[in-house]
Amino acid sequence: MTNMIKTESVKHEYTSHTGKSIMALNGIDISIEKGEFVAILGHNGSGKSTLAKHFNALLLPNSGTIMVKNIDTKNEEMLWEIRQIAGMVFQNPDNQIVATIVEEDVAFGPENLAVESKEIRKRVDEALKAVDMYEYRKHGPHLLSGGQKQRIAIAGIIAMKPECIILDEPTAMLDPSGRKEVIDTIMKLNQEEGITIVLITHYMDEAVNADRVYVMEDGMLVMDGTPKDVFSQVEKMKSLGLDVPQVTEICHELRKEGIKLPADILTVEEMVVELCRLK
Amino acid sequence: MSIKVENLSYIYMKDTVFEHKALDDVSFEIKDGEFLGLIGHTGSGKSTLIQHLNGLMKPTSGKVFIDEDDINSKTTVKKTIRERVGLVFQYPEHQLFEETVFRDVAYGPKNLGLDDNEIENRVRFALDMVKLDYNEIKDISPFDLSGGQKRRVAIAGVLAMKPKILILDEPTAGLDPRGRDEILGEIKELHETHKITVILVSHSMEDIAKLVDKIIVMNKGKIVFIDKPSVIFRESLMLESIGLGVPQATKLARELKEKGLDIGECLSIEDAKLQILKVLRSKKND
Repeated sequence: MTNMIKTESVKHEYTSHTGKSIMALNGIDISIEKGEFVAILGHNGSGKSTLAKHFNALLLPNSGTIMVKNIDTKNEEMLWEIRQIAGMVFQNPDNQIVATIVEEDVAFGPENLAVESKEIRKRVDEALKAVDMYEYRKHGPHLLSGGQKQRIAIAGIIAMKPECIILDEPTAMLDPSGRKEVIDTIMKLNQEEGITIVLITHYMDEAVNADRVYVMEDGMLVMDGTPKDVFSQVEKMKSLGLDVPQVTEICHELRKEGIKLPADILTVEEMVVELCRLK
Repeated sequence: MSIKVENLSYIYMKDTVFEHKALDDVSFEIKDGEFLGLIGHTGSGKSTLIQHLNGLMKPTSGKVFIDEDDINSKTTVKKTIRERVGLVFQYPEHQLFEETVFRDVAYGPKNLGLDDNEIENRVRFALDMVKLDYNEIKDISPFDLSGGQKRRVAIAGVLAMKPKILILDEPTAGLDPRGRDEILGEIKELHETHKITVILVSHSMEDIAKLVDKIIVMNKGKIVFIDKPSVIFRESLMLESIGLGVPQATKLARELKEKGLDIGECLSIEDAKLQILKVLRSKKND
């Protein structure tokens, strides 16, 4: 396995408006393999977004190192390579769209990488097809729904041929169907294109699909493991101000009442199978 | 009667090529003290509807009554409507602007022309309702607060107007699970102890199921359903077809029933737990 992102004792400190110094990241060691789908959870202010911004050199650490495909993010000369390898999608779709026509927006990234125009045309078409928005290529982005706009933002990243996409709460402003569109797109890119995914989210059901889940608290990684490992620790997740999927909590409550169920049920389907076995 | 909407329609950019019917013959009534959930996918007309309820938007046709007053009639003073109907927009913290928390929350009451004493009482009441300590927070700049605290201050600014009807447009968007539970808890308390009529717009079916007495489901500018949560969430296929969903507990109960294990209807974790226990234990005793 090759490392996509590897960090060593990363610390990041900043000074708030009031002059107080805050340790946003306090010794992060994480290694994300190529092709992995990683979810990062944690309450607001736990350091998730700060960490994500280190993954493509939007922020640099005060101490420690971050390697993106073996390139040190502190190496300024490699900044464009790093940003091309690891693309980022943010929470608010309206803040990320720069052009007045969908396909021009998607072309913005490759244009800045000085890709030749024929190749740009090809990449834009492919990227729009990958997010299932090709038929909207001539539309104005302001006429699209939130989920569609986020998929355009993702297409803009894909057109840069990244190996890794970091998404910072990409579904926070979307309705249920918009959320599903975006998550399905991310899963598809991971499974079919082999793109490494780092997903930061407050929706526990989105993290259930990940290969690995990390939980942050006070700038540190406090839990990690498969979704089953992490979510089965219901009390610990709650003490960190987080949730578990509703069925996992139902399962936890039933286990407390002495019902014999496995601790690591994450989906409605698994729960149905287990309960039918008991009946 | 608290709110009555009669045949309300609203057309954006009427008589242009962009003409779009955002609300299409909407009628409903909300009684005093009700807790109502408003759901529908993005673009279904929810935000357009709530902006009609305090006179921010004027209907293309139809009427809106707040306590018998036709809010768009020439004789109704708009200011008195906005005092009665408090509207908390999405991401309300973007609207904070004053130098201190006190001044920000006091802005509304001040514009009502209240005296200093009453203004202070209002600010204390409002901050108390959102569980912020008056003495600790009043002199701080709202911009130095955390995201969850900023949102609370913004909501307090609306509560300081002492509205009879409180409308919140996705008050928990972007908050983490704890922040979400805290804000919803405060809204619930406000509704229970102060008998305020609440309209909650939300994309979270779990939150809606947990809190409200009645749900309005909107699609393409029309009301497709008004009923109790237990009745609405029976229609899971219809809800999915218009871009919505049902709580996971409800889905679990439905799928168990399909497999021959009927635990009845569930809206919450608590329901599911109790009903599954009941079914499993009664089987054991057979």
